[in-house]
Amino acid sequence: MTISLPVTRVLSGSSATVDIIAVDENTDQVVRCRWSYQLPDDECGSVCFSLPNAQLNAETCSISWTASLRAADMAAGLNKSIYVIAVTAEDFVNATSTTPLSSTPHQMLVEVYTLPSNRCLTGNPTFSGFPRSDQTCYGISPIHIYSMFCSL
Amino acid sequence: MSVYRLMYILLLGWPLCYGDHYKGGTITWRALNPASLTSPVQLVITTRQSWTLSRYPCNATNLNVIGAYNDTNNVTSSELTCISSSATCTTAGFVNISVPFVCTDYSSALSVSTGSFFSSQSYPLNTVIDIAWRGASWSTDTYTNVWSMISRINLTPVSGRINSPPGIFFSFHNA
Repeated sequence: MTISLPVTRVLSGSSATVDIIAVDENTDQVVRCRWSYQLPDDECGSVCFSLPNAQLNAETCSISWTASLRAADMAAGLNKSIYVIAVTAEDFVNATSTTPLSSTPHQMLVEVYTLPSNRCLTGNPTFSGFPRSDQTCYGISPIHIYSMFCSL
Repeated sequence: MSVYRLMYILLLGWPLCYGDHYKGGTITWRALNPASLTSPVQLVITTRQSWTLSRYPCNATNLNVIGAYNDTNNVTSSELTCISSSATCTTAGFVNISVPFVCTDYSSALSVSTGSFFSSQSYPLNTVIDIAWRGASWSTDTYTNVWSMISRINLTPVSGRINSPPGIFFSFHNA
């Protein structure tokens, strides 16, 4: 099962991290991610390695990069750029194996945008209320009301 | 050659999938019963692909009733093909898989719609084939052209079961 939004928006200038949660129902196996390759079998067409200066950690399946607008888009007076991420996840019998058993591709769009100069927002919004921590699961009880507030 | 003959040849050479509408996706597969090692192995191959909303219109109505979801340009849709050797694909009994999507998501703000298709197929135990989804073109604002993605189907038993490929979920956060 693969789920993802087709387009994700990232603010220009920010250090963005794409966490690819690659899971395999064969829990004894190891999953590693890599950029999709042009050769030998053309896994990516015209979008191979097309996220500028991005780093992919094979074990954690995490992509790090500093979001920026494309020069051509800025020259055209646009305030956003659309990039493509093309990755392949592979599973292995164990951590030392280098022969993938199978693979799944995933290609999605990233929209890098800039804020208009006359924006009202002077900083990032802050959240309060229901405690939350990145990639953490919370058990919640039925009927109870949980509130989270976003302040600008 | 005559002008008319030249025009005819040029028109035939034009790609069937007129471009600028693709917005990414994925292919995955799974054996219906991974514990069963009888041949052929029955699979469900899932493909989910996203498109420019104007080319593949979708709204709350046709999404909820699983209504028509087609390319407004009426071009021939890409199929899932086998790109392993001809002998390997033939031995597996692979036949190109047409993909009539149903809309499963859309966003007007992002100008995107997403369709999914689930295909039931059977291949011999121990089959190893690479299936591909290829065509043209990506959405214009990506400054790219053709698309291509590959998934490896491997029906060689591992630890007494048909293997399942990895699934992927993207999440973004700013560092």
